[in-house]
Amino acid sequence: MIHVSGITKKFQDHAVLDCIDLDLKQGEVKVVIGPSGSGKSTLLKCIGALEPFDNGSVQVGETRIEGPASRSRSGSDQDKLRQIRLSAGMVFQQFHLFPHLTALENIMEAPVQVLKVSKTEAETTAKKLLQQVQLGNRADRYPRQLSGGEQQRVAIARALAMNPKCVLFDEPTSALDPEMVGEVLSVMRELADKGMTLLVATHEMDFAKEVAGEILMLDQGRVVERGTPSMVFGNPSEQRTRRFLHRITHR
Amino acid sequence: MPFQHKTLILWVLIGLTAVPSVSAGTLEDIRAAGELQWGADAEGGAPYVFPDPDQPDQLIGFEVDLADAIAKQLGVTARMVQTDWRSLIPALQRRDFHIALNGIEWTGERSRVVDFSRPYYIYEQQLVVRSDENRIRSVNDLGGKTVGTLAATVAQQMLEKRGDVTLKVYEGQVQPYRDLELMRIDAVFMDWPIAAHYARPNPKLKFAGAPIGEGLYVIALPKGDAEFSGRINKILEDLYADGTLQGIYEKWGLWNLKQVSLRESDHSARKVFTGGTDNGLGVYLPLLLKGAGMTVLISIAAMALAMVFGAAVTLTRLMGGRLLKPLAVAYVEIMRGTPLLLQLYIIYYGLPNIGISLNAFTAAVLGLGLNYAAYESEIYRAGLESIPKGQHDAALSLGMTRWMIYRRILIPQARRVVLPPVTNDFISLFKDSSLVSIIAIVELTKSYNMLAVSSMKFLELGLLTGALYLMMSLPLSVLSTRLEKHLAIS
Ligand SMILES: Nc1ncnc2c1ncn2[C@@H]1O[C@H](COP(=O)(O)OP(=O)(O)OP(=O)(O)O)[C@@H](O)[C@H]1O
Ligand SMILES: [Mg+2]
Repeated sequence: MIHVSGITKKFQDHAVLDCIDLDLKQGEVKVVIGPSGSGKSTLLKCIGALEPFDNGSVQVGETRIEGPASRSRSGSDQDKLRQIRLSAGMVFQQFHLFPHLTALENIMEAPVQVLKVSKTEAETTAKKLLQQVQLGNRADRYPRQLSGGEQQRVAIARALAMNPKCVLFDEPTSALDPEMVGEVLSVMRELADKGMTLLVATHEMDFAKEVAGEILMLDQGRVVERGTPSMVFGNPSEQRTRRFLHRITHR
Repeated sequence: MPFQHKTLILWVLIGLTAVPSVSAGTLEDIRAAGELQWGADAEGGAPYVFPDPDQPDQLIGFEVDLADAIAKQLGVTARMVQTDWRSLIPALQRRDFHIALNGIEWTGERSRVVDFSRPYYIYEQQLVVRSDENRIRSVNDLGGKTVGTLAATVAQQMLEKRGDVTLKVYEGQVQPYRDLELMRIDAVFMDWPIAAHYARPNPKLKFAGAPIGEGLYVIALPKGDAEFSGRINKILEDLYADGTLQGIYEKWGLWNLKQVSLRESDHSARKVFTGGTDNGLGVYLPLLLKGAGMTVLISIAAMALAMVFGAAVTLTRLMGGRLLKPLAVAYVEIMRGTPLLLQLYIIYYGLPNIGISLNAFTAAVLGLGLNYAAYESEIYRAGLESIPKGQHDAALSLGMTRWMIYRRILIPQARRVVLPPVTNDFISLFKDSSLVSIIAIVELTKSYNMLAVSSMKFLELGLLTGALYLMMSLPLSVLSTRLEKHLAIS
């Protein structure tokens, strides 16, 4: 489903992603951990075709794009990037709901505008998705009238409305008050149970242990350790991983 | 005491502005200064006072010669003090110079606030039309026509009094003839010396009928200095008697037999046009309101243009290709970096040189609108850039195209942000609209200026005009503040 091979990205001379490989099969869930600034967001944005990269390649579904092509303005490359964006749903740390639209309209917007689905059909789907994230009674609220946890669940529904092949989560619970983390994680758990392919940057250890097939530890743009949750959390081989885990469990 | 009958408040205001209404000792002032300072406006043009075409730093004209001759009699040199023509009388009241000598016509209103010398020239008004004109043969044929004239002149008052012509009032002497050639107006009615200098040599124009409406050019003198006015009158008498005046007028092609009457010392029996009577403010209000209506009309039309065109410039700047983007940037820089006044001049008086002749209203709306479009476009750009990048990322990740992101996500959010600054800009545009008076549009400020100059009620009419502007701009200010508060809350 997702094939990342040797991608590298530099800001000026500083390598933010340094030759990263990553594979997710259909239905797999993987979790990326790592200290602040290690490149988690950048990695997800490169996979989701929101950021160009320099070398290597990204493939999502059937569509593959090489580093240089990710910066190209040519029509065929732009089409490929758009294809990848349509295949990979994105959920952001800061939700990024559209503040001028209601929850329902946030979900309907892209299906109607991009996929040209009829309004009535989009509304039916959107309402169903709101039910699925336990927000059936919040359809007409604007983002500012919703709690953080509710906003993030609407954001998940918005991504799902485009029928993506996989969903990329960038620290979806880091901006939330602790009591709201659970409701978001349970929605994600449900998705995993249904067989959705998920790539999640998160520091929620319990969630990772429970649903992730593999954990990747990122530091300074490199994968410094990877393995099953029990391997990485139970018996990390790297000093850096150990220190990082110690820090986040003793916060 | 011109304002004696006015209310107490006005009295206090006049007291604060401290206009001395009786003055003495002007001759001593001149002797002490070693020069005769005379107020005039070189922008007014030939043949009165104007820059020498061969030596533009030198002023020439028949009034320069006259001032020199008077100064010589006083034993000093003459120095011209450049002053906007319509401000000559108030400036003399403030003693900015010793005399005002610049084609000033004797009128009853003016003689209430300054003293006048005996006349130094007897002028008439001349109607000028295009050479191929055959319907307008004299002023009797002017009914329903559009006629150009110079602001704040007797000619303007005469036309106003007729009431059956559409008046176009100009600040300069050249522009009316130019607009006549361009068919923007049907005829020009102005002082004979101006017509003799500008229209007579122009093959495209011709005189229609004989000159009419005799009037006197006089020198304006400080009010109440009898010694000084006696001296000036004596000098003028002598200059006539020894042939100096005739020499000057012959040199400038202005001599005619009418001038023989200058010899007489009493002109009070002469049937000169004396302008209107001393009216109460109520008479002026409808005229000011009409000007205000034009101000509102122009402001709204120009703002609509500015908002639409500004949006086009912003989108070109953000989304245009390598070719269009610099064009949009250049547009904004040029419009913001050059004076609006210059832009208006170029649009109205300059474009006809390349075959584009716009009417005054269109030119005014276009000039103001295109200028403000640059400012609006910068507001829009700042508004769009204030939207967090995450909004763009989220929309992009949903597969939206660039244009869709602007149209559906960014612009609707930016619209709220830009509303208060755009309202503020509307208020400034509203005030800047007074600049379009230079292209012969009579809006509020122009109406004020015309009425104040002819009635000498600069203060009362000024306060009234200010009140009208406030009545129109205050609601906008309130709206802008409300919007800002509203946005701060949500
Ligand atoms: N636009 C940019 N220009 C320059 N450097 C950038 C830019 N965006 C990110 N970086 C740098 O790239 C590195 C990786 O950033 P990234 O946001 O991917 O880290 P992260 O692992 O998501 O961190 P966090 O846990 O704080 O979200 C950081 O050192 C950051 O400073
Ligand atoms: Mg991040």
